[in-house]
Amino acid sequence: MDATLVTDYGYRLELMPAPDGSGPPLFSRDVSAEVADLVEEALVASVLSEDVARDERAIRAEVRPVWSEPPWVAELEVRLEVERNGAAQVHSLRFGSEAWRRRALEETALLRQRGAVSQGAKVYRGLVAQRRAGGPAACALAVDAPLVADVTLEQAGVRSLFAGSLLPERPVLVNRRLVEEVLAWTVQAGKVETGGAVLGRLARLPAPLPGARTRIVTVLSAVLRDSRHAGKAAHFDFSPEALAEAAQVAELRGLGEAVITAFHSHGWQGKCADCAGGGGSDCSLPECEPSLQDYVLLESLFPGRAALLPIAGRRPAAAGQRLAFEVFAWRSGALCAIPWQLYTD
Amino acid sequence: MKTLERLTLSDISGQKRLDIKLNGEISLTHTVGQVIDHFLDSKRIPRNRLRWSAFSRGVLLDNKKALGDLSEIDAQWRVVPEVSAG
Ligand SMILES: [Zn+2]
Ligand SMILES: [Zn+2]
Repeated sequence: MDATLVTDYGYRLELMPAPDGSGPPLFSRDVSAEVADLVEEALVASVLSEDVARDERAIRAEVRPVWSEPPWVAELEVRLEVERNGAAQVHSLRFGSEAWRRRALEETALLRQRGAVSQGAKVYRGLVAQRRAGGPAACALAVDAPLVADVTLEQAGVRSLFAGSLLPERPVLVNRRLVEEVLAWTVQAGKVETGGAVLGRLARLPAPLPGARTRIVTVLSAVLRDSRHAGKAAHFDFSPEALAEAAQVAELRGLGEAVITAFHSHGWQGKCADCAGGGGSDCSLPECEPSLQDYVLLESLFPGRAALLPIAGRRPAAAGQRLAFEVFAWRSGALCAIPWQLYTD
Repeated sequence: MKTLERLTLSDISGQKRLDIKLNGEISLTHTVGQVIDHFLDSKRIPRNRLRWSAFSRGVLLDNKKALGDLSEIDAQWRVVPEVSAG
């Protein structure tokens, strides 16, 4: 997909000692180039939701600031414009400040390390937009459209649907056996992290599933563990050799699958059923949420913005089932947990 | 042994893909490592100071090897970093 990215503004991420932006910033960096990542996410999301065709040729992508109070930006609006029968059709997505949360956390940690900010002091992040001196800039942005196969539910290996729900614009189906295996391995591994390759596919069904508004579903069908991956507490090393072999296995299965993502656990111990609850927990295990390192994993191993990240681990806020299997997807520039539905093959 | 004429690189999931026709920007004298760099740059994939490798048919390719030393059966690479989750 070839888009022309048009923007009238340059953007800076600033870290500040006060929430109102008074005083000199602790950190300030031009992040205009990173806006392209958000446009890529918007394009991929729009293809998956079928708001934009995957073979669309001429897409005009415009990025506009939504002000909180100029020059401070509350959100970025990405407008995707395509031509339909001679008329412009616009699909618009908004990106909140969570897109800059990760970079802000990384830079704040560096500031604390260097002693520029004391350990207890709060740091606020803000995005500043400044109109470009030379007027609006246009640049070409080439994005690989998600690889989607036209198949029926049966051809995608799905026999029956079970518990769960779907995000209308990004439905995800997960094999029940996959979840059972991941949770069992997570418990077995205890405080040590476990993980492996996940086989799956993007499928365009003849019609949307109940609860979905797009025909394109992501199916996570199987997990492959390999002793060459190595876990310890709060850390899991993926072996490139093992992943490459898993990709060969996916091809040999002949079901149109690929190593679509990789899962890992955040640890679990028997007492987590209690320690996970409420505030004041003394549990040292990370919660079932992407760490900064998990962002590095996803953006380098699965760089497409259609990628999902499944994580198993403790979920303190949850009532009842506290050992969770969560699926995270790119939404609004960050990895967010999305609903999914179980199936059997 | 027939030499390479074209090359397809992708990430492990196959979602980011690059087709290269050799003897344009990339020629047989380029090394595997240089072609990986070209793929990462053109796909805007951050290097994150990781070690990157290419696999063909599941087998690791030597980063220092020149394309001229590969045969045409090694025309599909998967580019994989050595990376950890936290
Ligand atoms: Zn615990
Ligand atoms: Zn993690």
